Amino acid sequence: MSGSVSDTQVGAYVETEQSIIKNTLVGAYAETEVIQLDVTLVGMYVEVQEEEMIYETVIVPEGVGALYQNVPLITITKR
Amino acid sequence: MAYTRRHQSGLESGDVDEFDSVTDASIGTSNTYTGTYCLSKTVLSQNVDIRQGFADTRQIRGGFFMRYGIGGSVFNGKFLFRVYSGGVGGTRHVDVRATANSTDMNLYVFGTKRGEYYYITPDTYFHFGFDVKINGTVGWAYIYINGSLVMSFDGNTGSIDINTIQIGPNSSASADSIDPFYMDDFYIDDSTGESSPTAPPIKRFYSLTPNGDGNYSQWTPIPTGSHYQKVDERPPNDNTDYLEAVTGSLYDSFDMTTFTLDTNENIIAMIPYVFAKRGSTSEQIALGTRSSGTDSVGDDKDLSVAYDYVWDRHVTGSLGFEWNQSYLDSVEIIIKSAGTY
Repeated sequence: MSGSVSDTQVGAYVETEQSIIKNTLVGAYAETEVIQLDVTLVGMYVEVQEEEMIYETVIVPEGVGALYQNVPLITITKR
Repeated sequence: MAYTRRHQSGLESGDVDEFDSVTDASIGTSNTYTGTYCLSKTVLSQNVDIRQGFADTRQIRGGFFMRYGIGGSVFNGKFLFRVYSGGVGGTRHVDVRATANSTDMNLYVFGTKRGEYYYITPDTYFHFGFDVKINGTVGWAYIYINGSLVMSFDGNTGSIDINTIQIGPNSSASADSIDPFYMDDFYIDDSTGESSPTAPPIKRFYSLTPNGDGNYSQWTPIPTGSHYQKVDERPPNDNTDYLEAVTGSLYDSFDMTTFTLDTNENIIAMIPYVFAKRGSTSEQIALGTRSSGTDSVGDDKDLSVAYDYVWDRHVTGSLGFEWNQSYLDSVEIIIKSAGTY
């Protein structure tokens, strides 16, 4: 009968130990697997657009030629 | 006034996740407008549903290149472009639909036809531009093809913030079409403050890829090896190889490929982009450029728990100058770990 009592006590003790070990493992898993930042692809888009010509009518002095001409004033790129 | 970029995609990652969602279209390598990749219809007999959200606003502008039709065949009533408040399924303020001939399209506002256009060339890329203001009395919806105004409406376009666009061809009410469909080089800006409708610029998005390790190599390559080779695959190979950071303020940078600008082409911005993910809740990433030995790194960006598209638009280089061919040839891209760990 005493042996029987002893087995029960040992069994209870072992169960408590397993519980403690399990909690420790869960904590270790969280630290090593969760806190990280991963990058699998890197690239650079180059946003391009063409210049647009802006024309303005300007007065050309008499004797030079036509009074009015369309001449390119500046080139701009709308953003 | 300033325009605020809300999204852009050239599909050059080779991954449809550059958009919020894509249904019945996939990455294609033929008939691209620029670069190696575009979006194309996966199964010719199906609809296409491309969705992109943006921060609530009353004014947007943008555009993309689109190609469809095979001459005389039809999309017949399918939606090509839709603007919503409350997301897809909410209120549809503006839409553009193909008609019984692939050369035609119509503009609708709250379901009422407001404009017609008849001169699309089938099976040929064109630039579709839009400029929309939401207002109960002085709103507008203007549509531009290759930079020219082709359909417009002025008046009541609603009185609630819009937040989603949807690109087709798509309609549950009409039969599927066998027509092909391709799309490339998309962007959308918040245009709040724009005082009158203006043709949105026609933009192209070329992509550079890493071809060497740069000035910084502080992240951990997994598996071991050169850093750039962990992030240069298109499409992304997720956890096959990647770079990892387990603390903040770690820098990696990469030499990049280059190309020669065509005559009259100007660089408006450099846009570093990554496919990245966080492991917990508070890891972030910052993206930047490095030119002439000087860094320019943007704000910290939030991440998803799965690999997703993150970008940061830089309109000037690290020295504050506008980009040019010389900077393009020598620029490095920077990734910086941020947030808490």
